[in-house]
Amino acid sequence: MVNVYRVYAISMIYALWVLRNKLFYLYLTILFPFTILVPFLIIAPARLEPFIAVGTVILTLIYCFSTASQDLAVDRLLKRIAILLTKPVTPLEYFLGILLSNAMQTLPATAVVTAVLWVTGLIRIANTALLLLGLIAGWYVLTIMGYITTLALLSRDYHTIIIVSNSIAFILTFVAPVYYPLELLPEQLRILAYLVPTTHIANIIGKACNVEYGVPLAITCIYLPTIVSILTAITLKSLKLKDIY
Amino acid sequence: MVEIRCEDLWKIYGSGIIALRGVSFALVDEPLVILAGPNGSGKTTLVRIIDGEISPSRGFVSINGLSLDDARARGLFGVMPQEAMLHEYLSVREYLYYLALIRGLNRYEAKREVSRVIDDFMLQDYASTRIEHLSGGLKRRVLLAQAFLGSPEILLLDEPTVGLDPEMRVKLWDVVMRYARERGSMIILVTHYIDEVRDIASRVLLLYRGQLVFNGEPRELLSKVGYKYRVQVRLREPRAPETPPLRLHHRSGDVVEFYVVDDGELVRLLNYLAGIGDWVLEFNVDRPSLEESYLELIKSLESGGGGQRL
Repeated sequence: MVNVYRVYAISMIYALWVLRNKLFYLYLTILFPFTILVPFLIIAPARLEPFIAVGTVILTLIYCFSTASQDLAVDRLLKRIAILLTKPVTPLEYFLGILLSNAMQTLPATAVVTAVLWVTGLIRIANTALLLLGLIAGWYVLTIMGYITTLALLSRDYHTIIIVSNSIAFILTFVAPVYYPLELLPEQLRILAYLVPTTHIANIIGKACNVEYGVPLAITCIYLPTIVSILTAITLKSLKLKDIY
Repeated sequence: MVEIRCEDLWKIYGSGIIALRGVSFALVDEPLVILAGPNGSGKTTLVRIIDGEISPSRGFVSINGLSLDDARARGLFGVMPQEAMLHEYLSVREYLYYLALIRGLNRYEAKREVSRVIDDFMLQDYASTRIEHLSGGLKRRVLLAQAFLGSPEILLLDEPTVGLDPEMRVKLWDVVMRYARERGSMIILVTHYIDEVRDIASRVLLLYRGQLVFNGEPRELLSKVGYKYRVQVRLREPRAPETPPLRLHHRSGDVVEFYVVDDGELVRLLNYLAGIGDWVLEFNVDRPSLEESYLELIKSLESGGGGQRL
């Protein structure tokens, strides 16, 4: 049984830090994606502009990955988790709390970024339902990946966790075909690109905005439900709050 | 009924440090248990194993027959860890409110409980202040207050008075006593101020180098010191009028200390003092403290003497 109040309380404890630091929130979730967008638009050929716009949306979503991994790492570093560990929190409730917290932190920023891109004509939304599906899939997959990354690194120190999670965030953003179509990747890297979740999240959001990444939709339709199921199963099976120590 | 059962607990940290060595005990409906021991004796490790924060390397803990992996068992606890950062960007009231919800209370109960612990721990003036703006002592109070949310059946307080001012320490013992008395909670207290709670403690657990060396009532520990009363006599002149009637005494200048083992000996000593009344400037009778008994036991363990190894 999941206690809804408990999930809500866990999410608020984590989300309020970011939501209350408005300048930090604005920078990380909105200004930061645009600071990458602008130089890319200047130096990239015009045909890549729609990809850069979709990439900006994905970069905002990648914030989910970073917060999910770093919240846990900071909790461990500051021993804040000790308070939660001694309360009757189940691993599922904790995980749902983190998910909800990330939704509160990231989805409003993603909505703002998408709206700005739409108003400025950088993206054209052709299928709103598909766009929403892409955003929600992105939020879920990236949050759970951040969570698993930290769980896998729990025996390491805080700095190692941060370095590894930032490196993965870099791969998710720039190595996967997010800011450019698949065809621009060297042949041998394309297979690897299919394994990276952001490739498929970009593909769905791209399809919703008439941006063609060159990734078959059928592969994405198989990949995303599979990765969601595998990551959820790993999390629920492996997560014990005690492990955070 | 509240029952905590620890069976053959060992904790070996990754660094190879052995924090606990086969600790076993059972606590059944004990109102207040003092967990004492020198620094590094394993007290905090034991508390963290009992409250489910960390797993033992060997052995097990059960609470009312439930394993600690069961969230229901953790629901019985209120814990004040020795050190833990708070979520400092929240106000005191917000932090306590969210923790009350996490504890399993509904919104109405949570608000009521938060107001109660804010009153109990004299945090009214700071309820709307962000925790990051509080002093160290006030943060300790918030950490303490969260343990009492929801009237837990078992309270584990790890050095709760460290960093508290004297007024708050007195207040804390009041709250602790009230809990033990009115709510029937079992309170396990790690403290170096053991004499402050000796009158309300029902049991003392003493750890030494990861082993449980004493598990008994405070009066049993008091008996370890080897005397029941200590009588301090100040003489008019630094020379004895005649041989004192007690074997255990210590003389330093014009002050003589007698260590009295029973009531009969005390009567004999008082008669003796009455007989030399002209020589006596003042005298004082006191009982040994738990701290002295504890130190005596530790001293005997360090010199290779036997404790009550359990």
